[in-house]
Amino acid sequence: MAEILSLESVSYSYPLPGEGEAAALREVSFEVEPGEVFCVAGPNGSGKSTLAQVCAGLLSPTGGSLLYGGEKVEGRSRLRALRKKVGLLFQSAEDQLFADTVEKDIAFGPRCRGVRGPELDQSVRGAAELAGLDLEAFGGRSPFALSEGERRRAALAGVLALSPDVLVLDEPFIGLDYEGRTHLAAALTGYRRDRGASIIVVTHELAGVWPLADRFAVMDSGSLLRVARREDLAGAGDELGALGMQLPDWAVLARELAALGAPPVNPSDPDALADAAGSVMGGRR
Amino acid sequence: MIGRDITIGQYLASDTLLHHVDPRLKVLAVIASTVLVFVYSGWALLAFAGLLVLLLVVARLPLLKVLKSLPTVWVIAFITFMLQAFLTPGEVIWHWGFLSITDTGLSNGLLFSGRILLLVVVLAALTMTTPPLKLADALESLLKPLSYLKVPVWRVTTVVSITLMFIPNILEESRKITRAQMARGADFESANLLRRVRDIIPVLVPLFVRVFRDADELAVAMDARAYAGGEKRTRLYPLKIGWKDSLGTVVFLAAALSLTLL
Repeated sequence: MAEILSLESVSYSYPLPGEGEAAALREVSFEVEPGEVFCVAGPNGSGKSTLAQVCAGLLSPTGGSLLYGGEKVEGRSRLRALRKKVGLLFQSAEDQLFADTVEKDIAFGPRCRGVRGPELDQSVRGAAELAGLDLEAFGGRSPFALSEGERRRAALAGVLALSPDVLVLDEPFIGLDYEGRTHLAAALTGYRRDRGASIIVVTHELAGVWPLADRFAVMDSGSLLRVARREDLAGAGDELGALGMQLPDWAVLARELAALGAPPVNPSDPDALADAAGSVMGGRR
Repeated sequence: MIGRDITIGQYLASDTLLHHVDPRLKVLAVIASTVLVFVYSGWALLAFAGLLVLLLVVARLPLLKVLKSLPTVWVIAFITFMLQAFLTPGEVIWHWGFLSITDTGLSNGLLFSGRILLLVVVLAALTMTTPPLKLADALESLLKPLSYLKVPVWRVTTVVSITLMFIPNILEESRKITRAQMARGADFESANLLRRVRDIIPVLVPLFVRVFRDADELAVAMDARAYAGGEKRTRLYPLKIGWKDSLGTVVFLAAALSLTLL
């Protein structure tokens, strides 16, 4: 499948106060396919957030090249065009919310693109629904009066209202309770299914994204260590542990069960796991 | 690209000559230099600028980089130069239509814009080489006589130091929020000026929210760690003026003052 976004030896350095530079990304290369959920995993300071901003066209690589749809993204006008295709949800939802009501905030992006009238209303409603936010209940409230999980959903709706072909999320599951995580995972699954969009999730915490992601890029100190499919990464617990990351317990359990001869199961489905465990133990549950 | 500048008011952790000078002497030298920048003109000002540049080159401060990253200062200096050059009466040396540049205008333009740049350089040299907390200590020490007049000096200096400490943070936050809003449709690079002004609001609101929240958290954190200013507060590293500091400052001020002879 032709990739939608690809990075070819992309580097990025921040200038240090005074002299010198700090390298945040060192020759990172990977491709993201259409409709794929791609996770960039790495410990704090591994360059993930910089990578997210490079993918969204907010930072221009200081080395290497970024390609969208096979075309090199170079120069200001192409970066601006890329920003229309790629949406980015920052880690802190507060950085993106500003309007006096949630509804107006969600409408900000489409308004900037010149969308007005019923079409605007429709895109706001559609985005709120996708993000799992009840517009009747929250639409008239101030975004700053919401809980962290609700704020994250409002900010996500603001990005989804632009219907990006590629959605980049920076640490979307951090700080969310179980309900918040479930809502967010459902929203991402829904957006991928309905729009066929690619989703890039940048995180150091694998539990939330594990059931969603097709492939994982593991990063450390600005360098890409490897790109692996979920089933291949499930056996790399020690490698991830050395980087301060942890496989979800149920992912480890699913792998162990598969090694004992159980059929492959969706590791985030407790019933399927129980059935698999039962099959290994001779039909008991 | 956004986010690649050095900001004024930012401290550079380094080990230059100026980093070791007692902050009180630096503050006094900056006040003296500010006065001299306004008192001197012509060759004396040029020589004083040379003296400052020499000092900063010896201290290995990346001043050119700082000046380059301050486009606003250059714009102000340029506007000052143009206004002086075109509007000051004197002997006309260049003429085109209704525009004319006079000799007095040209020299005044160079003088005033030069003074602006020198002031920025002097202040940047102070903030780049002095950590905000030391600067606050220096101000508190220098303003101590005012406490006899019941002026709450430590409160004033705490506010000043926290403000100085937060300026680079606030600038960094504003850049981050700008990028966050660009990711959801705001266009800060649009040719349409009205649109660019309108799109500042989505940056200002989250920035204010963040600044107020940070200020609140800082106050709680200071309280929680039993912060108390004023007479009761002692310091782990009290300020101490060494003979090298005094000698260096006296030599610099003597050299600067001797320029009055030019």
